Amino acid sequence: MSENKKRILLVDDEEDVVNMVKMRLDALGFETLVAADGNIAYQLARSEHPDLIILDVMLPGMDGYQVARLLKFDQKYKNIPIIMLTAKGQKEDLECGQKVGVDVYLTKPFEASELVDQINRLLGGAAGA
Amino acid sequence: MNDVEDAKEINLRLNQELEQARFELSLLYDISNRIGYSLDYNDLMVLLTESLHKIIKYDVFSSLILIDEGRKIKISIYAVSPVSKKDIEEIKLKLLKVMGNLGGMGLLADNPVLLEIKGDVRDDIQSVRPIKASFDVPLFAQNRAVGILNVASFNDINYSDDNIKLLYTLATQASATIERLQAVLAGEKSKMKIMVERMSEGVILLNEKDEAVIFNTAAAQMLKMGRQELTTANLIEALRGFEVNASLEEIKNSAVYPWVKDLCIHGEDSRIIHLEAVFIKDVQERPLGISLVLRDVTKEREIDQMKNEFVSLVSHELRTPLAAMKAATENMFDGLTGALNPTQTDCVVLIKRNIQRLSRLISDLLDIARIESGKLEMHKQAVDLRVVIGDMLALLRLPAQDKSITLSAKVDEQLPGVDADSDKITQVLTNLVGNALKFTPAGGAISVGAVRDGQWVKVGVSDTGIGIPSQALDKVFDKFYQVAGVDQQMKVKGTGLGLPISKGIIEKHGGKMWVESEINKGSTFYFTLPVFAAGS
Repeated sequence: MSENKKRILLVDDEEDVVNMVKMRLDALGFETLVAADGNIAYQLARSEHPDLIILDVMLPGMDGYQVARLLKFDQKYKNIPIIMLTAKGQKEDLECGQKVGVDVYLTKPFEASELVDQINRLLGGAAGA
Repeated sequence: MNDVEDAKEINLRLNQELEQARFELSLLYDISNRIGYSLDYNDLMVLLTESLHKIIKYDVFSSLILIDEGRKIKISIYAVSPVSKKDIEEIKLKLLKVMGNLGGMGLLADNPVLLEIKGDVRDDIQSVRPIKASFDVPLFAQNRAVGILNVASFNDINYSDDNIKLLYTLATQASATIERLQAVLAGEKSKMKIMVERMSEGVILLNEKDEAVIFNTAAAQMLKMGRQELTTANLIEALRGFEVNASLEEIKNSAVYPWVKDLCIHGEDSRIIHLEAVFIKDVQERPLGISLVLRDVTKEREIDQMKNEFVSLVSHELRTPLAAMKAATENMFDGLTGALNPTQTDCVVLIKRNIQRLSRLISDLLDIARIESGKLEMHKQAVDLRVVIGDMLALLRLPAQDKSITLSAKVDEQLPGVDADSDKITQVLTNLVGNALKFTPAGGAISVGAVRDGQWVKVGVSDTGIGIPSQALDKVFDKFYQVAGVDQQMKVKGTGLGLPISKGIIEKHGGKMWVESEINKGSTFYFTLPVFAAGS
C-alpha cells in the first residue's frame, strides 16, 4: 500500500508552516518528505525522486529558485512538478519563478484548498493513495 | 486810441506770459509724474533732455553725475546741432571744473569718467561754432552736490533768470523724488536681505543677464560653494555637475511650473538638494530672471526610504507566521485535528476571518508602500475593459445577490482598448464595486459604465448608497481615512487603504480619479485611462 502513495517533498525552513502543511498532506494520504535547507532539498530530490515538490523561496543554503533551476534543467528531474511557496508576492518574483520553470506559484498566506487543488491538478487528480 | 492800443498790447503780453507759465507748470507736472517711479539719475537726465527743449532754446544740453556712490563720473552730452570733438572736450572740462568747485577737485581727480554722447559729432579739430551763451545748475541729493547740468547755445541768447530758475526747480524736484524712492528702496532691500539671509532654504535670484543678484549663505552652503564663487557661470557649471541635464535655457523654456530637480551633492557628507526654479516675467511677459529655491531634503528622503523598507520588511515578516496560523486554523476547520463542536467551529471561523483581514491589510500596506516609493511595477498592454468589467462583475454577482443589490454594466460597444495593466485595473474595479456593495443598503443598484472621451476612456462606478458628505469628498482618497460614523453605522471594516491604492494605480497610468456624491442618493467614482494607441 505505502509503495503506491504519492510522495511530496516539502521544503521550508519555517517549522510551524511545515508541520501544518504536513498535517494536511498526511491527512490526504501523501507521503511527505521534509527539508529545511536548499542544499538538503536538492540532495533529497535527486535521491528520492518525489512526485511533487513544494518549495519555499527564502531558504538557508541555496534559495528556492536555485533549487528549482537545477532540477528543471536536468533531464532526469525536470518532470517533477514544483509549487513555489513564498511570503513574497511581487510580480518580479513571479516572473523569476516562471523563467526557471516553476509550475505553480502560491503567495503566503495561501488557502489550503488552493494548495490541494494545485497538487491534485499537477498529479493528475490522484490524491494520495 | 493810444490807451486802447496799449491796453491791447498789455493784455496780449499778459496772455503770453500766462500761457508760458501754464506751459511750464504742465511740464513740471509731467516731469514729476514721469519721474514718479524712476530710481535712476540717468533716467532723470533723459527726461530733462526730452522736455527741456520745449521751453528753453539750446544747442547742447549736458550733465555730469556722480554714480556708484561717487566712485564714478558719468558725463552725458546731448547735442541738438552738430558739434566737434573739440567742443565735446571743452564741455567735459568745463563740467569737471564746475563740479570740482562744488565738491572739491580732489574727489574727482582719479575717478573714472564714463562719456555718453548723443547727436551729430564731427571729427573736426576746430569748433563747429563757438558757444556764445550757457548756464549751469547744480544737482543736490542729501545736501551733497551729486551733479551738474549745463545748457549751452551757439547763438547769442540771453538766458533769463526764469530759465535758470525753471531748470533748477525741475532738477531739484526730480532729484528729491529719486532720493526719497532710493531711501525707501534701500530700506526695503535691507529688510529683504535680512529675511532672505535668515531663511533655511537656499535662495538665488538671477537677473535677465543671468547674474546672481540675490543669494544667501544657505544656498552657498548647500551647493558647497563659497559666497564669492556663487556666480552664474559657476552655478550653471554646478548644475551640470549635479547631473542636471539642463542649462538655465531649459528652465526658461520649461512648460512645467515650477521646474524641479533633485540634486545629489556627493562628498564626505552626501546631500540631496531639492531645486525649484521659476522663470520670472513682468506683466508684459518680458523676462526678469530666474528664481531658484534650494531645500535640503536628505533627511526626508532617508526617512521615506526607511519607511518603505520597514513596511516591506514587516509585511514579509508578518506573512510567514500568518501562513502558519492560517494553515493550522484550516486544518482544525477541516476536521484534520478531530471533530469540532459548534462553539469551537464559531471560534475557528472567527480566527480565519481575522487572519483574512490581517493578510488583506498587509497586502494593502505593501501596495501603498510601492505606490509611494514609485516602485509599483506596471505591465501595460492593450486591455479590453468590456472583458475586465464583465469578469469582475461575474465574481461579485454572488455577494451582490446576498445583499439583494442589482449589478449592471453600461459599456459602450465601440469602446476602444486602453493602455493599462489589466490585473491592476481589475484590482481598482473590484475595490470600487466592493466599496459600493459595502455602502449600498439592500435593494439598491450598482452600475459600471465606460465611455470614450477623446484620447481617454472614462469609467464610472455608481451606487444608490448612503453617499459621502461634501466635506469628506476630497478626504476619501487619504490613507486610513474613514468617513466619521458611517463605517460603524454600516458595520464596515476596511483597511482605509483601498481608495488611495486605487487612485495611485490610476495615476500611475496617467489617469485621474475623482468622486461625485449626494447624501442618501448615492456616489459615483470615476477614473480615466488612456486609449491604447498602436506603437505606444
